[in-house]
Amino acid sequence: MVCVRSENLREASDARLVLAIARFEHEALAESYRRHGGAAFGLARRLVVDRGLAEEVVQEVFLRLWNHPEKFDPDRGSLGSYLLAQTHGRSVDVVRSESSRRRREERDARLTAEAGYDLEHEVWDLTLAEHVRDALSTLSDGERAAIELAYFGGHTYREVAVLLDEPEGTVKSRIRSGLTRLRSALVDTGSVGHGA
Amino acid sequence: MARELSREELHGLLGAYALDAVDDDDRDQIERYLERSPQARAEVESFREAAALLAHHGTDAPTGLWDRIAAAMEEEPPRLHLPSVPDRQPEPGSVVPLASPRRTISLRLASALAAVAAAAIGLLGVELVRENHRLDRVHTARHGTVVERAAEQARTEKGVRTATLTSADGTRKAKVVYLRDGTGFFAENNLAPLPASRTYQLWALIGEAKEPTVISAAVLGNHPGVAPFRMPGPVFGFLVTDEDAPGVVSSDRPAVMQGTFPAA
Repeated sequence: MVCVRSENLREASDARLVLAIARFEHEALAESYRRHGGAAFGLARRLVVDRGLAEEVVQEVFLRLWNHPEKFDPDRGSLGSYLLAQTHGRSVDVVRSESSRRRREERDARLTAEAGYDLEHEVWDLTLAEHVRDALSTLSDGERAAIELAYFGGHTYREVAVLLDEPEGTVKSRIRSGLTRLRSALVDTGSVGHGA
Repeated sequence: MARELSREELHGLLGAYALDAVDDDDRDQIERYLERSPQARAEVESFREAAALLAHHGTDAPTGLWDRIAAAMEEEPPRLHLPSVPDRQPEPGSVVPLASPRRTISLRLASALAAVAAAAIGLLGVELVRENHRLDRVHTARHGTVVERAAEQARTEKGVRTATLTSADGTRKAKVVYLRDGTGFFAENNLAPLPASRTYQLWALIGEAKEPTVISAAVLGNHPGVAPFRMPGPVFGFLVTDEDAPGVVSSDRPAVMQGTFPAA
Protein backbone atom coordinates (compact mmCIF):
# COMPACT_ATOMS: atom_id res chain seq x y z
CA MET A 1 0.00 0.00 0.00
CA VAL A 2 1.27 3.40 -0.87
CA CYS A 3 0.08 5.15 2.22
CA VAL A 4 2.95 4.44 4.57
CA ARG A 5 1.69 4.29 8.08
CA SER A 6 3.87 5.13 11.00
CA GLU A 7 3.79 1.59 12.29
CA ASN A 8 5.41 0.17 9.17
CA LEU A 9 7.53 3.09 8.10
CA ARG A 10 10.71 1.37 9.07
CA GLU A 11 10.08 -1.43 6.60
CA ALA A 12 8.91 0.81 3.78
CA SER A 13 10.89 0.67 0.56
CA ASP A 14 12.48 3.79 -0.87
CA ALA A 15 9.85 3.93 -3.57
CA ARG A 16 7.02 3.72 -1.07
CA LEU A 17 8.57 6.37 1.12
CA VAL A 18 8.92 8.78 -1.75
CA LEU A 19 5.40 8.15 -2.94
CA ALA A 20 4.20 8.88 0.58
CA ILE A 21 6.25 12.08 0.57
CA ALA A 22 4.52 13.02 -2.66
CA ARG A 23 1.31 12.69 -0.67
CA PHE A 24 2.53 15.19 1.92
CA GLU A 25 3.05 12.58 4.59
CA HIS A 26 5.48 14.22 6.98
CA GLU A 27 6.21 10.90 8.64
CA ALA A 28 7.69 9.58 5.41
CA LEU A 29 10.18 12.43 5.20
CA ALA A 30 10.93 11.93 8.89
CA GLU A 31 11.69 8.29 8.19
CA SER A 32 13.95 9.28 5.31
CA TYR A 33 15.73 11.62 7.68
CA ARG A 34 16.02 8.92 10.33
CA ARG A 35 17.64 6.61 7.82
CA HIS A 36 19.93 9.03 6.05
CA GLY A 37 20.12 12.26 8.02
CA GLY A 38 23.17 11.21 10.00
CA ALA A 39 25.16 10.14 6.96
CA ALA A 40 24.14 13.27 5.07
CA PHE A 41 25.18 15.46 7.95
CA GLY A 42 28.46 13.59 8.37
CA LEU A 43 29.29 14.01 4.71
CA ALA A 44 28.32 17.68 4.68
CA ARG A 45 30.36 18.28 7.79
CA ARG A 46 33.38 16.60 6.22
CA LEU A 47 33.16 18.88 3.24
CA VAL A 48 32.08 22.24 4.59
CA VAL A 49 33.54 21.79 8.10
CA ASP A 50 31.35 24.43 9.68
CA ARG A 51 28.57 22.77 11.64
CA GLY A 52 26.01 25.44 10.88
CA LEU A 53 26.72 25.31 7.17
CA ALA A 54 26.51 21.53 7.22
CA GLU A 55 23.12 21.73 8.89
CA GLU A 56 21.95 24.19 6.26
CA VAL A 57 23.06 21.83 3.52
CA VAL A 58 21.22 18.88 5.06
CA GLN A 59 18.11 20.95 5.64
CA GLU A 60 18.17 22.08 2.02
CA VAL A 61 18.62 18.52 0.76
CA PHE A 62 15.68 17.14 2.72
CA LEU A 63 13.44 20.08 1.87
CA ARG A 64 14.32 19.51 -1.76
CA LEU A 65 13.15 15.92 -1.40
CA TRP A 66 9.97 17.23 0.20
CA ASN A 67 9.36 19.80 -2.52
CA HIS A 68 10.48 17.70 -5.46
CA PRO A 69 9.98 14.02 -4.69
CA GLU A 70 9.77 13.34 -8.42
CA LYS A 71 13.48 14.04 -8.73
CA PHE A 72 14.27 10.74 -7.05
CA ASP A 73 14.09 7.75 -9.35
CA PRO A 74 14.35 4.45 -7.50
CA ASP A 75 15.30 2.71 -10.70
CA ARG A 76 18.51 4.70 -10.79
CA GLY A 77 19.73 4.00 -7.28
CA SER A 78 18.81 3.96 -3.64
CA LEU A 79 17.32 6.88 -1.74
CA GLY A 80 20.45 6.99 0.41
CA SER A 81 22.67 7.27 -2.63
CA TYR A 82 20.46 9.99 -4.06
CA LEU A 83 20.40 12.03 -0.85
CA LEU A 84 24.13 11.69 -0.34
CA ALA A 85 24.81 12.71 -3.94
CA GLN A 86 22.60 15.74 -3.37
CA THR A 87 24.39 16.48 -0.12
CA HIS A 88 27.76 16.10 -1.77
CA GLY A 89 26.87 18.34 -4.69
CA ARG A 90 25.45 21.06 -2.49
CA SER A 91 28.39 20.83 -0.11
CA VAL A 92 30.83 21.13 -2.97
CA ASP A 93 28.99 24.23 -4.14
CA VAL A 94 29.42 25.70 -0.70
CA VAL A 95 33.05 24.66 -0.48
CA ARG A 96 33.83 26.15 -3.85
CA SER A 97 32.19 29.44 -3.13
CA GLU A 98 34.55 32.29 -2.55
CA SER A 99 33.36 32.85 0.98
CA SER A 100 34.36 29.34 1.96
CA ARG A 101 37.77 29.31 0.41
CA ARG A 102 39.56 30.30 3.56
CA ARG A 103 37.72 27.73 5.65
CA ARG A 104 38.56 25.08 3.12
CA GLU A 105 42.22 25.90 3.18
CA GLU A 106 42.20 25.70 6.93
CA ARG A 107 40.50 22.35 6.76
CA ASP A 108 42.95 21.00 4.20
CA ALA A 109 45.80 22.03 6.42
CA ARG A 110 44.19 20.31 9.37
CA LEU A 111 43.51 17.09 7.47
CA THR A 112 47.04 16.98 6.17
CA ALA A 113 48.32 17.29 9.70
CA GLU A 114 46.12 14.49 11.02
CA ALA A 115 48.11 11.32 11.45
CA GLY A 116 46.58 8.08 10.29
CA TYR A 117 43.75 9.73 8.43
CA ASP A 118 42.31 7.38 5.88
CA LEU A 119 39.06 6.34 4.31
CA GLU A 120 38.52 3.36 6.56
CA HIS A 121 37.98 5.62 9.53
CA GLU A 122 34.97 7.12 7.85
CA VAL A 123 32.96 3.97 7.69
CA TRP A 124 30.45 3.45 10.41
CA ASP A 125 28.52 0.23 10.26
CA LEU A 126 30.67 -2.64 11.39
CA THR A 127 29.61 -5.13 8.79
CA LEU A 128 29.47 -2.56 6.09
CA ALA A 129 32.76 -1.17 7.31
CA GLU A 130 34.38 -4.51 6.77
CA HIS A 131 32.98 -4.76 3.27
CA VAL A 132 34.03 -1.23 2.40
CA ARG A 133 37.45 -1.79 3.94
CA ASP A 134 37.90 -4.90 1.83
CA ALA A 135 36.73 -3.03 -1.24
CA LEU A 136 39.11 -0.18 -0.54
CA SER A 137 41.95 -2.62 -0.23
CA THR A 138 41.49 -3.49 -3.88
CA LEU A 139 42.37 0.07 -4.88
CA SER A 140 45.86 1.26 -5.63
CA ASP A 141 47.28 4.03 -3.47
CA GLY A 142 46.90 6.42 -6.37
CA GLU A 143 43.25 5.54 -6.83
CA ARG A 144 42.51 5.94 -3.14
CA ALA A 145 44.21 9.29 -2.91
CA ALA A 146 42.44 10.63 -5.99
CA ILE A 147 39.01 9.50 -4.81
CA GLU A 148 39.59 10.78 -1.31
CA LEU A 149 40.65 14.24 -2.43
CA ALA A 150 37.83 14.50 -4.94
CA TYR A 151 35.03 13.10 -2.78
CA PHE A 152 35.91 14.22 0.71
CA GLY A 153 38.03 17.19 -0.28
CA GLY A 154 35.55 18.58 -2.77
CA HIS A 155 38.32 19.15 -5.30
CA THR A 156 37.99 18.94 -9.05
CA TYR A 157 40.09 16.34 -10.75
CA ARG A 158 42.27 19.13 -12.10
CA GLU A 159 42.89 20.37 -8.58
CA VAL A 160 43.58 16.82 -7.45
CA ALA A 161 46.15 16.53 -10.22
CA VAL A 162 47.92 19.61 -8.89
CA LEU A 163 47.75 18.39 -5.32
CA LEU A 164 49.16 15.00 -6.23
CA ASP A 165 51.52 16.36 -8.84
CA GLU A 166 50.16 13.97 -11.41
CA PRO A 167 48.90 14.54 -14.97
CA GLU A 168 45.18 15.37 -15.19
CA GLY A 169 44.55 12.37 -17.41
CA THR A 170 46.12 10.05 -14.86
CA VAL A 171 43.96 11.40 -12.06
CA LYS A 172 40.84 11.22 -14.19
CA SER A 173 41.58 7.61 -15.03
CA ARG A 174 42.38 6.71 -11.44
CA ILE A 175 39.11 8.10 -10.18
CA ARG A 176 37.17 6.14 -12.75
CA SER A 177 39.11 2.90 -12.39
CA GLY A 178 39.03 3.22 -8.61
CA LEU A 179 35.28 3.71 -8.53
CA THR A 180 34.80 0.81 -10.93
CA ARG A 181 36.94 -1.45 -8.77
CA LEU A 182 35.27 -0.23 -5.59
CA ARG A 183 31.83 -0.86 -6.94
CA SER A 184 32.74 -4.27 -8.27
CA ALA A 185 34.09 -5.31 -4.89
CA LEU A 186 31.02 -3.95 -3.11
CA VAL A 187 28.72 -5.80 -5.49
CA ASP A 188 30.59 -9.00 -4.67
CA THR A 189 29.85 -8.52 -0.98
CA GLY A 190 26.24 -7.57 -1.63
CA SER A 191 26.72 -4.06 -0.25
CA VAL A 192 25.36 -2.55 -3.44
CA GLY A 193 23.09 -4.10 -5.99
CA HIS A 194 23.95 -5.30 -9.42
CA GLY A 195 23.31 -2.78 -12.10
CA ALA A 196 25.27 -0.85 -14.60
CA MET B 1 34.96 28.81 -24.57
CA ALA B 2 35.79 25.24 -23.55
CA ARG B 3 37.12 22.77 -26.07
CA GLU B 4 34.54 20.29 -27.28
CA LEU B 5 35.31 16.94 -25.67
CA SER B 6 35.23 13.71 -27.61
CA ARG B 7 32.95 10.86 -26.62
CA GLU B 8 35.92 8.96 -25.21
CA GLU B 9 36.97 11.96 -23.17
CA LEU B 10 33.45 12.43 -21.88
CA HIS B 11 33.22 8.78 -20.93
CA GLY B 12 36.55 9.03 -19.16
CA LEU B 13 35.22 11.86 -17.03
CA LEU B 14 32.17 10.01 -15.71
CA GLY B 15 33.95 8.99 -12.51
CA ALA B 16 35.04 12.52 -11.75
CA TYR B 17 31.57 13.78 -12.64
CA ALA B 18 29.96 11.29 -10.24
CA LEU B 19 32.09 12.81 -7.46
CA ASP B 20 31.24 16.40 -8.47
CA ALA B 21 34.91 16.77 -9.39
CA VAL B 22 34.62 18.42 -12.78
CA ASP B 23 34.65 22.07 -13.79
CA ASP B 24 31.48 23.80 -14.91
CA ASP B 25 32.45 23.70 -18.60
CA ASP B 26 33.11 19.97 -18.44
CA ARG B 27 29.93 19.41 -16.48
CA ASP B 28 27.77 21.02 -19.13
CA GLN B 29 29.23 18.82 -21.83
CA ILE B 30 28.98 15.69 -19.69
CA GLU B 31 25.36 16.37 -18.86
CA ARG B 32 24.54 16.77 -22.53
CA TYR B 33 26.28 13.45 -23.11
CA LEU B 34 24.32 11.82 -20.29
CA GLU B 35 21.07 12.99 -21.85
CA ARG B 36 21.76 10.86 -24.89
CA SER B 37 23.50 7.91 -23.25
CA PRO B 38 21.50 5.74 -20.84
CA GLN B 39 24.58 3.57 -20.40
CA ALA B 40 26.61 6.55 -19.21
CA ARG B 41 23.81 7.60 -16.85
CA ALA B 42 23.73 4.13 -15.37
CA GLU B 43 27.48 4.19 -14.92
CA VAL B 44 27.33 7.51 -13.06
CA GLU B 45 24.60 6.18 -10.81
CA SER B 46 26.63 3.08 -10.05
CA PHE B 47 29.63 5.22 -9.14
CA ARG B 48 27.50 7.37 -6.86
CA GLU B 49 26.06 4.29 -5.21
CA ALA B 50 29.55 3.09 -4.39
CA ALA B 51 30.73 6.53 -3.27
CA ALA B 52 27.71 6.87 -1.00
CA LEU B 53 28.94 3.95 1.06
CA LEU B 54 32.16 5.79 1.73
CA ALA B 55 30.15 8.66 3.15
CA HIS B 56 28.46 6.64 5.86
CA HIS B 57 29.94 7.09 9.24
CA GLY B 58 28.79 7.22 12.78
CA THR B 59 27.62 10.79 12.99
CA ASP B 60 24.14 11.27 14.31
CA ALA B 61 22.11 14.00 12.77
CA PRO B 62 22.17 17.01 15.09
CA THR B 63 19.45 17.34 17.65
CA GLY B 64 17.02 19.94 16.54
CA LEU B 65 17.85 19.80 12.85
CA TRP B 66 14.84 17.68 12.11
CA ASP B 67 12.67 20.11 14.06
CA ARG B 68 13.89 22.91 11.82
CA ILE B 69 13.24 20.87 8.70
CA ALA B 70 9.75 20.02 9.94
CA ALA B 71 9.09 23.65 10.75
CA ALA B 72 10.23 24.68 7.27
CA MET B 73 7.86 22.11 5.79
CA GLU B 74 5.03 23.78 7.65
CA GLU B 75 6.09 27.32 6.87
CA GLU B 76 6.73 26.81 3.21
CA PRO B 77 4.21 24.47 1.66
CA PRO B 78 5.61 22.54 -1.25
CA ARG B 79 5.54 24.55 -4.42
CA LEU B 80 3.27 23.23 -7.06
CA HIS B 81 4.04 23.34 -10.69
CA LEU B 82 0.57 23.21 -12.01
CA PRO B 83 -0.13 23.56 -15.67
CA SER B 84 -1.91 26.73 -16.68
CA VAL B 85 -5.19 26.46 -14.93
CA PRO B 86 -8.44 27.39 -16.57
CA ASP B 87 -11.31 28.87 -14.64
CA ARG B 88 -12.81 25.45 -14.31
CA GLN B 89 -9.92 23.67 -12.68
CA PRO B 90 -11.26 20.42 -11.29
CA GLU B 91 -11.16 19.99 -7.60
CA PRO B 92 -11.73 16.81 -5.76
CA GLY B 93 -14.57 17.64 -3.47
CA SER B 94 -16.78 19.10 -6.12
CA VAL B 95 -20.20 17.61 -6.62
CA VAL B 96 -21.23 17.02 -10.17
CA PRO B 97 -24.44 16.37 -11.95
CA LEU B 98 -23.68 13.50 -14.17
CA ALA B 99 -25.47 11.56 -16.83
CA SER B 100 -24.91 7.97 -17.79
CA PRO B 101 -25.70 6.71 -21.27
CA ARG B 102 -28.83 5.13 -19.96
CA ARG B 103 -30.02 7.44 -17.29
CA THR B 104 -29.21 10.68 -15.68
CA ILE B 105 -27.96 10.45 -12.15
CA SER B 106 -29.37 13.44 -10.38
CA LEU B 107 -26.94 14.29 -7.69
CA ARG B 108 -27.57 16.56 -4.80
CA LEU B 109 -26.79 16.74 -1.19
CA ALA B 110 -29.87 15.22 0.22
CA SER B 111 -29.29 15.74 3.89
CA ALA B 112 -27.54 17.92 6.36
CA LEU B 113 -25.15 15.10 7.01
CA ALA B 114 -24.24 14.90 3.38
CA ALA B 115 -23.78 18.65 3.30
CA VAL B 116 -21.41 18.48 6.20
CA ALA B 117 -19.53 15.67 4.52
CA ALA B 118 -19.29 17.63 1.30
CA ALA B 119 -18.06 20.68 3.15
CA ALA B 120 -15.39 18.59 4.78
CA ILE B 121 -14.40 17.18 1.44
CA GLY B 122 -14.40 20.69 0.04
CA LEU B 123 -11.91 21.73 2.66
CA LEU B 124 -9.79 18.82 1.65
CA GLY B 125 -10.14 19.73 -1.97
CA VAL B 126 -7.22 22.08 -2.32
CA GLU B 127 -4.90 19.70 -0.54
CA LEU B 128 -6.11 16.79 -2.62
CA VAL B 129 -5.56 18.68 -5.84
CA ARG B 130 -2.05 19.54 -4.70
CA GLU B 131 -1.45 15.96 -3.70
CA ASN B 132 -2.73 14.62 -6.97
CA HIS B 133 -0.48 16.94 -8.90
CA ARG B 134 2.51 15.86 -6.84
CA LEU B 135 1.61 12.27 -7.51
CA ASP B 136 1.23 13.12 -11.17
CA ARG B 137 4.72 14.56 -11.17
CA VAL B 138 6.10 11.49 -9.45
CA HIS B 139 4.22 9.34 -11.91
CA THR B 140 5.50 11.23 -14.93
CA ALA B 141 9.06 11.35 -13.70
CA ARG B 142 9.17 7.62 -13.17
CA HIS B 143 7.58 6.63 -16.44
CA GLY B 144 5.04 4.89 -14.26
CA THR B 145 7.39 2.46 -12.62
CA VAL B 146 6.92 3.50 -9.01
CA VAL B 147 3.19 3.91 -9.32
CA GLU B 148 2.80 0.65 -11.17
CA ARG B 149 4.77 -1.17 -8.53
CA ALA B 150 2.79 0.54 -5.79
CA ALA B 151 -0.45 -0.44 -7.49
CA GLU B 152 0.71 -4.03 -7.72
CA GLN B 153 1.67 -3.96 -4.08
CA ALA B 154 -1.67 -2.43 -3.18
CA ARG B 155 -3.49 -5.44 -4.61
CA THR B 156 -1.98 -7.59 -1.88
CA GLU B 157 -2.77 -5.26 0.99
CA LYS B 158 -5.19 -6.28 3.67
CA GLY B 159 -8.64 -4.81 3.17
CA VAL B 160 -8.09 -3.86 -0.46
CA ARG B 161 -11.19 -3.62 -2.65
CA THR B 162 -11.28 -3.73 -6.40
CA ALA B 163 -13.97 -2.26 -8.61
CA THR B 164 -14.28 -3.31 -12.22
CA LEU B 165 -15.47 -0.43 -14.36
CA THR B 166 -17.21 -1.34 -17.58
CA SER B 167 -18.59 0.63 -20.49
CA ALA B 168 -22.27 0.29 -21.40
CA ASP B 169 -21.47 -1.98 -24.34
CA GLY B 170 -19.00 -3.99 -22.29
CA THR B 171 -16.03 -3.35 -24.58
CA ARG B 172 -14.11 -0.96 -22.33
CA LYS B 173 -12.92 -2.03 -18.92
CA ALA B 174 -10.73 -0.80 -16.12
CA LYS B 175 -9.98 -1.76 -12.57
CA VAL B 176 -9.74 0.52 -9.59
CA VAL B 177 -7.79 -0.76 -6.62
CA TYR B 178 -8.87 1.00 -3.45
CA LEU B 179 -7.31 0.79 -0.01
CA ARG B 180 -8.86 1.35 3.36
CA ASP B 181 -6.98 4.59 3.93
CA GLY B 182 -8.49 6.18 0.84
CA THR B 183 -5.55 5.61 -1.47
CA GLY B 184 -6.54 4.23 -4.81
CA PHE B 185 -5.10 3.31 -8.18
CA PHE B 186 -6.80 3.51 -11.51
CA ALA B 187 -5.17 0.39 -12.85
CA GLU B 188 -5.31 -1.71 -15.95
CA ASN B 189 -7.61 -0.28 -18.59
CA ASN B 190 -8.30 -0.49 -22.30
CA LEU B 191 -9.64 3.02 -22.78
CA ALA B 192 -9.18 4.35 -26.28
CA PRO B 193 -6.70 7.25 -26.49
CA LEU B 194 -8.31 10.68 -26.79
CA PRO B 195 -7.12 13.75 -28.66
CA ALA B 196 -4.78 15.98 -26.68
CA SER B 197 -7.58 18.46 -26.13
CA ARG B 198 -9.53 15.92 -24.10
CA THR B 199 -8.96 13.93 -20.93
CA TYR B 200 -10.49 11.11 -19.04
CA GLN B 201 -11.57 11.99 -15.54
CA LEU B 202 -12.18 9.60 -12.67
CA TRP B 203 -15.02 10.25 -10.24
CA ALA B 204 -15.70 8.55 -6.93
CA LEU B 205 -19.21 7.56 -5.90
CA ILE B 206 -19.62 8.26 -2.23
CA GLY B 207 -22.36 7.63 0.28
CA GLU B 208 -25.54 5.83 -0.57
CA ALA B 209 -26.01 4.11 -3.90
CA LYS B 210 -29.50 5.54 -4.20
CA GLU B 211 -28.30 9.09 -3.95
CA PRO B 212 -24.56 9.18 -4.28
CA THR B 213 -22.27 12.13 -4.03
CA VAL B 214 -19.95 12.19 -7.02
CA ILE B 215 -16.53 13.68 -6.46
CA SER B 216 -13.66 14.16 -8.84
CA ALA B 217 -10.90 11.78 -7.83
CA ALA B 218 -8.31 12.25 -10.56
CA VAL B 219 -7.71 13.62 -13.99
CA LEU B 220 -6.35 10.69 -15.95
CA GLY B 221 -5.08 12.29 -19.12
CA ASN B 222 -5.91 11.41 -22.69
CA HIS B 223 -4.16 8.05 -22.66
CA PRO B 224 -4.37 6.79 -19.11
CA GLY B 225 -1.93 4.43 -17.55
CA VAL B 226 -1.84 3.49 -13.91
CA ALA B 227 -2.76 6.56 -11.89
CA PRO B 228 -2.81 7.03 -8.13
CA PHE B 229 -5.40 9.08 -6.34
CA ARG B 230 -6.61 9.74 -2.86
CA MET B 231 -10.23 9.84 -1.94
CA PRO B 232 -11.08 9.10 1.66
CA GLY B 233 -14.68 8.52 2.53
CA PRO B 234 -17.42 5.92 2.11
CA VAL B 235 -16.60 5.25 -1.52
CA PHE B 236 -18.66 2.50 -3.11
CA GLY B 237 -17.78 2.87 -6.76
CA PHE B 238 -16.25 4.91 -9.56
CA LEU B 239 -16.99 6.17 -13.00
CA VAL B 240 -14.98 7.71 -15.78
CA THR B 241 -15.99 10.55 -18.07
CA ASP B 242 -14.46 12.06 -21.19
CA GLU B 243 -13.91 15.78 -20.64
CA ASP B 244 -12.24 18.80 -22.14
CA ALA B 245 -8.62 18.95 -20.98
CA PRO B 246 -7.46 19.62 -18.34
CA GLY B 247 -10.65 18.42 -16.66
CA VAL B 248 -13.75 19.92 -15.17
CA VAL B 249 -15.26 20.85 -11.86
CA SER B 250 -18.65 19.44 -12.66
CA SER B 251 -19.88 17.36 -15.51
CA ASP B 252 -23.01 16.44 -17.33
CA ARG B 253 -21.21 14.09 -19.64
CA PRO B 254 -22.24 10.46 -19.82
CA ALA B 255 -20.06 7.94 -18.05
CA VAL B 256 -17.63 6.18 -20.33
CA MET B 257 -17.47 3.38 -17.83
CA GLN B 258 -18.56 2.79 -14.28
CA GLY B 259 -18.59 0.15 -11.62
CA THR B 260 -18.93 -0.51 -7.93
CA PHE B 261 -17.20 -2.71 -5.42
CA PRO B 262 -18.60 -6.22 -5.21
CA ALA B 263 -20.72 -6.86 -2.15
CA ALA B 264 -18.65 -8.03 0.78
